[in-house]
Amino acid sequence: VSTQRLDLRRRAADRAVELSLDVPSALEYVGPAVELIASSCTSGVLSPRRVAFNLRTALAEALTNAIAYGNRQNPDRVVRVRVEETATAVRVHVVDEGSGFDPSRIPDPPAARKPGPGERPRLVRAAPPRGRRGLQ
Amino acid sequence: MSFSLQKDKRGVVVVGVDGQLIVGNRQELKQRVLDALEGGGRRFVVDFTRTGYIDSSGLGVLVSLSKKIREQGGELRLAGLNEDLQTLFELTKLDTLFAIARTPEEALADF
Repeated sequence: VSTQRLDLRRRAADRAVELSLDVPSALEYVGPAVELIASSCTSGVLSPRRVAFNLRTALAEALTNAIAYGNRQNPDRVVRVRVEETATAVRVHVVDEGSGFDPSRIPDPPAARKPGPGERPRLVRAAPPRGRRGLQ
Repeated sequence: MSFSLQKDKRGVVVVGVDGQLIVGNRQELKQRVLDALEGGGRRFVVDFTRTGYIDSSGLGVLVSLSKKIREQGGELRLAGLNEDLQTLFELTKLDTLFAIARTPEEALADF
């Protein structure tokens, strides 16, 4: 996939760095977008191992959900990713242009019962509850 | 190239996954393994030695392939998982579904 449509913006502000990226609503952009963001997280607050696995995995899952279930792969919509790197944390916001949902009405499978093979603990929490969806 | 397929002298197909197995490339892996299955391959080892991360759709395609291969009387084994990937398979309980070897060589040894 061409990455020409991926334009990462970087802004430094008061001991924090903010990265912004608009991702087209097509699943083939997930990998390139993850690589672009992860390779730009250079503050050191996350170890190379955490960036290599945890950050990439979380980003890939959140982006896939936003593209597939939020924007329904509608080419007229984008997913906006914003990454805040501070001295102590990396906070990732993934926002789609879907109709949103109420996360309090979605049961947490691991809390309700023991997960079976292939099911995984919930990794990301949806917020805010109305309108667009953000994932942290 | 995300994937490499090589058949050893005994006909075991070793599939190397370079970088990641995610929503964007899972179909390519699935098609290439199914083509090898169609071509008579029955024993498969997926080598994750050079793999950084796998998302849930990547896990899903492994489960799907394992089922299809079993239906044909074959087996899919996994090898070369790093510590984080090993934890991923344990958390999802997929370590109970697959035979997982430490290295591809170990996976091939008694296949």
